[in-house]
Amino acid sequence: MFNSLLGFLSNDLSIDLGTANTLIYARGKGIVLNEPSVVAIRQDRGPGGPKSIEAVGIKAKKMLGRTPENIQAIRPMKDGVIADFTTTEKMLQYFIKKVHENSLFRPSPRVLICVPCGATQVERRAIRESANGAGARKVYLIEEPMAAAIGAGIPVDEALGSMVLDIGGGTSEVAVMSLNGIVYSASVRIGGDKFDEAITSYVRRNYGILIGEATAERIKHEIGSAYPGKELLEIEVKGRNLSEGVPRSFTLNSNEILEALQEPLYGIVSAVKTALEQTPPELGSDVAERGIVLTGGGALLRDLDRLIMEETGIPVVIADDPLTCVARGGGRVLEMMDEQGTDFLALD
Amino acid sequence: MSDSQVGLGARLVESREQAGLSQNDVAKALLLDLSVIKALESETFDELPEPTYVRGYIRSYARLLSLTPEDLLEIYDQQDHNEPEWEINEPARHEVAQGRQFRHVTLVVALVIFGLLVTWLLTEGNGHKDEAQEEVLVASMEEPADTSPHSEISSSEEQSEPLVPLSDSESVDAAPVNEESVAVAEHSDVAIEEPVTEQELVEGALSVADDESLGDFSLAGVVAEGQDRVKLTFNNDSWVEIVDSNGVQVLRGLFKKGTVRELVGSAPFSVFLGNTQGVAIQINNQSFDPAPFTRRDSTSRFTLKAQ
Repeated sequence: MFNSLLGFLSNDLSIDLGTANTLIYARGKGIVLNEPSVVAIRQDRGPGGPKSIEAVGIKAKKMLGRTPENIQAIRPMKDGVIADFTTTEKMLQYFIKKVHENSLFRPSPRVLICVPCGATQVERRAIRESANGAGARKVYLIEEPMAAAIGAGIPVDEALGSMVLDIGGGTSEVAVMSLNGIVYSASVRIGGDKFDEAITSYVRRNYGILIGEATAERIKHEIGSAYPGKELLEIEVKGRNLSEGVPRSFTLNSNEILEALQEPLYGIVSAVKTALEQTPPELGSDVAERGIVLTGGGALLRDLDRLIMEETGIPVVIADDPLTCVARGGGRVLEMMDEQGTDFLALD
Repeated sequence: MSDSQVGLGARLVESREQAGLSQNDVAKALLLDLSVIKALESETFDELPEPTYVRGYIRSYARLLSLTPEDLLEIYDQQDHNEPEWEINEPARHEVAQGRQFRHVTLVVALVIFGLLVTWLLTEGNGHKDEAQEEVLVASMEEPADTSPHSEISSSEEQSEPLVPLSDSESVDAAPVNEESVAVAEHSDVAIEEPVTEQELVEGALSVADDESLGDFSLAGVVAEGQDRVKLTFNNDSWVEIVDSNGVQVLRGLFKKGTVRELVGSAPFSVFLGNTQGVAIQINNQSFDPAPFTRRDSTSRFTLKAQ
């Protein structure tokens, strides 16, 4: 009873707990938070000393790779699942509190969290527990591609096959859905992070220069592309020359980045191809006719739709605002849950 | 609106023809059905899938023709097209609004309860203060009654004692005066003692039966009118609060084991006992059994009527 009373004082939240970014959609408000999943932890007085949270989100992301000895900037999520349980809990707690800033009481919202469809039972349980620990009154879990599809506005309730490719920070998920259920789903641990890593190692291999995570991400955002385009983009970056040991500035172009990204890109393409192979023929023909929908931050990589189109021979459509699809879809599920109960979707 | 409708299809056709492409070429390039391209150009959106897909098609078509997709999508958004099936925001929004109303109501109720609590606490605090003041008043009323006669007596004795040897040794004339003064002193003694006895009478009538109750918060000084006599025998320590029918609090306080209290007031009395088992009650010399009113924590509240 006390919980239901507290429930009036908290918003229902849909959380896209991603490897790179955490998004929170509040019922009736829309996206209320979009911050990097990074936590900076301060540990004074040596290795056994007390730990405290120095910063969370955008502020903590700025500290990545720029911390002194007593501060550690951590990304507590890895490959779409929790890598550091306590830190994730603290981060969720901070985010939930942040979206309830004007609240008098400790917020205890109902929370719907998206999990990668490849997550094991142990990983799901970890996510559930950390949300509980962060103060959630009730936790629902939904598979990421389902939330992404709903958020993209695909009619998953019809007897019609729809394929969604959600490329996140840590994982890429491909799923075929029909009648509110997932017919086929697969998850590969390739995402934005792998793109960054690929760029870092390409630069080190070909230029002998070491660049940081943040720089790699900037390169990807500015000149990264998945398909040879008409124009050649360039960017000037700075990194530490390994042989000289001093920072040097150098220029990269989009073709080089395209080359660097080949390996992770083909991992994703082959996952899509496998999915198409495994899809029942009727649903496959629906997909071929209407197209594959791209969601997630990875969809923003230039010409990724073109690459998949060329590789599969199926039209590819990028959803509107692909970054927030999962969180928005989760929010819509929360709204529907009150009307139709929790049975209409396979929520864990 | 018809202008913008013409806009989207016409712009696509115009750009396509400028680029020297046929509908078939476009269909092949975009890997879409020819029917989809035709529907886009003729703006028969009913034949096309959901807006999510249509927007995607328009985007790739625009890219193929090097148009800015945002302009075309803006035109598309202005038109009526079938809303996605999942749009059930209306009832949900309604519910959210209801939720908000509930939230406001809860907040108001919480505030009212809080306000009542605060008022109650304040009045309770004042009540205690009033009682405390009453006790002080009672004490101050009793004190002069108790002490002043004694002090006057002693002073008159002190005055009279040195007078006696004087009268003996010095003058005979003074003797009658002395005798008079002694008589006066004696008289005053009597005169002053009278209220004391009265006071004692009142006290006796009200309660005082032994001296142990002096430390208690008994309101012995409160004059209660009435004929009904209540006798409380304490077999155990107990808190007692008794109010008579006129609303006068005739007894209040913690009484030790072995205390006996008698009081007069007008029935019915409303009685609150802290330790019901430890108190034997008699009203007008008839015993009263409070057992049926006893609660689990051995307190009891009941009305004591004249038997």
